[in-house]
Amino acid sequence: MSILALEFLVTNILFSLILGAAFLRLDKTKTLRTGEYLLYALGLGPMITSLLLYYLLLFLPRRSDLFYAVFIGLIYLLLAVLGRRNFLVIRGEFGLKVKETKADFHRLSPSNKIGWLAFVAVLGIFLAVFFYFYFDHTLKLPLDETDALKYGTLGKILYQEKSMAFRWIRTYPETGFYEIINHAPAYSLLLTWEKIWNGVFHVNQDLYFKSINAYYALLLLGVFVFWLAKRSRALALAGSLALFSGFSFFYTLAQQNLDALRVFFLGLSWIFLVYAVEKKAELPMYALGIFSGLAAYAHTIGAVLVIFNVVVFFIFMKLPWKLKIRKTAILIALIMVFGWFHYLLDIFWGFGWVIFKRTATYWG
Amino acid sequence: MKEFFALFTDFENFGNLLWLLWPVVLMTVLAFKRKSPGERALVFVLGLSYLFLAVRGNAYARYLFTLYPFFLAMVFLGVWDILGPKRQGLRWGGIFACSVLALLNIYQYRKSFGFYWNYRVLGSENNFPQKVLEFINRTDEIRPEDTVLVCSHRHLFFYYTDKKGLDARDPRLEAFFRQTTKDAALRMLKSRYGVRFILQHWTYNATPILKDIIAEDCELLVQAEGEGLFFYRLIDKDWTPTELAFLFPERSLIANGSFETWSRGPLSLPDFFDKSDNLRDGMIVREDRDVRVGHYAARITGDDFNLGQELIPIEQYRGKAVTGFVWARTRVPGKFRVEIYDGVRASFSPRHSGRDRWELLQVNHTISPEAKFVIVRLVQAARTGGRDDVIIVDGGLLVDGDWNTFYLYRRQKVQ
Repeated sequence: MSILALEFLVTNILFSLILGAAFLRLDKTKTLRTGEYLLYALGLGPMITSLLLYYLLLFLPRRSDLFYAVFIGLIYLLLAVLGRRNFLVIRGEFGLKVKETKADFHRLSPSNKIGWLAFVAVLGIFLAVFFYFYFDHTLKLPLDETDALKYGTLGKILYQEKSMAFRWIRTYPETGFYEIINHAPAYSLLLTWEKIWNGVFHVNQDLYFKSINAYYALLLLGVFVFWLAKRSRALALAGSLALFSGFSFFYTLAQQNLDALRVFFLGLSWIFLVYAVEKKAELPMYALGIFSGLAAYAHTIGAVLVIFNVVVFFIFMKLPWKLKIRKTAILIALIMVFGWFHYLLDIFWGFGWVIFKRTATYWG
Repeated sequence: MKEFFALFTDFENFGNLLWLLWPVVLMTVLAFKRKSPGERALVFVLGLSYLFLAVRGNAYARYLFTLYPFFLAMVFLGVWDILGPKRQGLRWGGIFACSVLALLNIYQYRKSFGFYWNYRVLGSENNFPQKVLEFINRTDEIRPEDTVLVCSHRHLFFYYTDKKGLDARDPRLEAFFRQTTKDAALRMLKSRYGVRFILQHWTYNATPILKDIIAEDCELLVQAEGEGLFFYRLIDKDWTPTELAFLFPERSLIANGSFETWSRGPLSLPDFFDKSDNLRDGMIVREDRDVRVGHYAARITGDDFNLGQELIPIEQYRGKAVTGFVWARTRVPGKFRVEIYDGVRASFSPRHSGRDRWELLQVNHTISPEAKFVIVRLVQAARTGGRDDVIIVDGGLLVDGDWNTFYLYRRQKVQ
């Protein structure tokens, strides 16, 4: 459990904050509020780590656990150095926000104070129930969901081989595992990452892998509440209740699979599509490219739907043609680097045009 | 067409508020020119995504879930904005109404929520085949060069074990499935693929030849109680009926398992089988021609019945593992099996293949410490509507401990 806590703090929190700070450095015109950036950035740590691992296994295969752990650590260290000033900005803004909230709270009328406290209490109760469920249910259950087992087995193979070559072999000769997996190995590599930690600390567990869906479902809920709370806190609470009234969200929170992961990145790509079309700044466009790429990297559904992002971005941008083409080219390049690249490899050296052929009626 | 609109009509998965998206979309379209480019882009991209998921994704709930949080947020933000700041009363009324509708939806589908809330797949319970997986990982029987033919639960097998498997869907097995005789198929399975073990769930629809191999050339190594998952080993030697009769221990926890005593007459229930259900006089008769053990067997004709015996006194058996065996012969596939039920949980043997030959059915069960009774149903017939279905049973045996035919044979052989 302590290894899980450490891995979670490093991968999901520390790495995400480093990426968030690096992002802020790029945002010269302050297009988004720092809090909003950080909320979105919280999802980046695990996925960017998975993506780094993907490229490392592709270009620097068959090294030790320590090599990959240190290499990835060094990349984040470099990013932390680049965004070091922004940590102070984040800390400063966080402190300022706390002060403002305190002051705002004191200025509220008694009835508004009660409303504010009720909002916090309901969120607190929800989190308490969630954590009870997470510790008593998610972590205790053995992995038994078909998708999670399938992608987990691929993650196990990638760890054993420390190479991406076996990603494109239908029957793994060592164990006979036979599967055609269409999606890029974002989710699988998170188990590989956990196994690297296991290798470094000499443990054997899959607790982190089992927590992925719950983590991204919480983030998804966080983004949902954030947007609704912009209008009204009561609206956010009613919306959350409505979200839970559909069994599919509860199922996603309870099950160990990759649904929340892929929906989170696709949803953020749509949010940044709006920002990128509306704002002149470069950063929303970069974010659109990164989140669209990661949505593709998470799942073939994302790989197909982000093509619409590119088309719509091109159509709705109010810019001269030359600039429009340049920006769209940058967007496509970013989507490629952050995930779509995998499907190119698949087309030329892997299973072929899997995302189009096999997605015709059903995503294997 | 109904599937196309599943996101709005499937209240169980997506709640009962998404239909409100239609007026929001309508208002957006009517005021399209006044909308910002970003909002227009969003409407376009979500519309295209929805069309793609609904049409190309077969409206599968997990794919449609991709849009659910986003659409729901649009409903709430859209309705809030449409009502405007001047209609605060309406806004609060709307929030209240939406909350009530959401709660009603949760109440309506409370069983789905309750199921997952209480869902436990712990090793100590029946839903997860922990026992089988642990056995596969720990046994010395599987050598590195041995292969397991994985007919069922392939994801569990490959994730939880490091043994070599051969997925039954693997195209390399095409040559095996092309064989027309059992002997040729069996030879190929052993020599070409190195298969010495088979993992199969009772729901797996095996080819007739594979069914024959499992029924005639395999011994059951371990089964997941209640799960219906069986792990077999291909036998090296064919045992004759005389050898089998000799090898079996004589002491059994149930009485009259070989159906030798019929004190109520040859057309009534045999002695000790008082916990039978739906078995009237004439349905069960003494059989003296087609016999497996001793002088008599039981021939039963009918549908939806149990031939059972209670294990007494219960105090002796709580928390203990027991194993039941019975020889059975029938022409009806997939209808008859053995069950041990203790009021808390039940375990089942594989079903008889219906190939009109004697097959040894086996069931393993650990009696619950909370059990109030234990009933051993040497024959359990599913309700299929076939009232003329016939089964002959003989040599019923219940032994103390977690046994299987493999070790049963081995132990006796060593002695």
